[in-house]
Amino acid sequence: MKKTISLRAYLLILVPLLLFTPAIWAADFLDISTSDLKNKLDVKGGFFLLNSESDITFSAEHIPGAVNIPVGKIRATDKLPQDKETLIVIY
Amino acid sequence: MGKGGALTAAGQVAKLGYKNIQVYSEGIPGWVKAGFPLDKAIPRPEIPPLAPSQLQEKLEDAYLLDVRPEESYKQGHIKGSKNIPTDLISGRFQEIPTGKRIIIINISGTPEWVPTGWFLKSKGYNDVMMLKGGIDAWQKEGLPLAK
Repeated sequence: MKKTISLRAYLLILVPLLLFTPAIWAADFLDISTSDLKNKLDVKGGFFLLNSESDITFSAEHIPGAVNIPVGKIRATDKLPQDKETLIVIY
Repeated sequence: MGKGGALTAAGQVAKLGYKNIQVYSEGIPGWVKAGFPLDKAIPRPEIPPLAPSQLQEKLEDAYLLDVRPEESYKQGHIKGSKNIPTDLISGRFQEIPTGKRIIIINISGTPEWVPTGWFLKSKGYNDVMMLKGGIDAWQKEGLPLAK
């Protein structure tokens, strides 16, 4: 009886771990679809579209409405919105 | 930028305290595939391609500009080339001599997508070429790399 309980307890812990761990790893940042991004841009406002490529690449082509902050300059930038709750979409 | 670059940027933004972050991993390819327009700000003059074997013959005459990240450059580069990563070109292009042919070296490369070349042309550098296929093609030809 004792053995059965411990096996059940073991499975109760192990199975959810195996099932959900990859999902937790992948869920660091949500991914936005092309159509959702287009809808947000059409509505205008309420979010910040950040392009993190080099300034040269950005000036060659970018999604309209995007703001360029090269990845190496993000830490020191003053271009990001003041409100830390603002949705930031990054590509 | 690839998804990896966007994720790195997302990590940095998160460190600044932003709580609501999403990544558009489809990026420009997904945007274009859906038929949506892009803003294209700078002119795109032709940047002639040079095959690796042609470049090998011109090593002495040209300024070889390797625009890959510093770590990649350190792992192996074409002898005599100088490294200014794409991210830093706009702040350091004055280091590049005028009056010399410039050959841009990237990881890979097609003549249709040479932002660094377009930028340099806009700054008055007239003779700009690119290594077709970049370092990948150079290595596939079995040509030597220095460290």
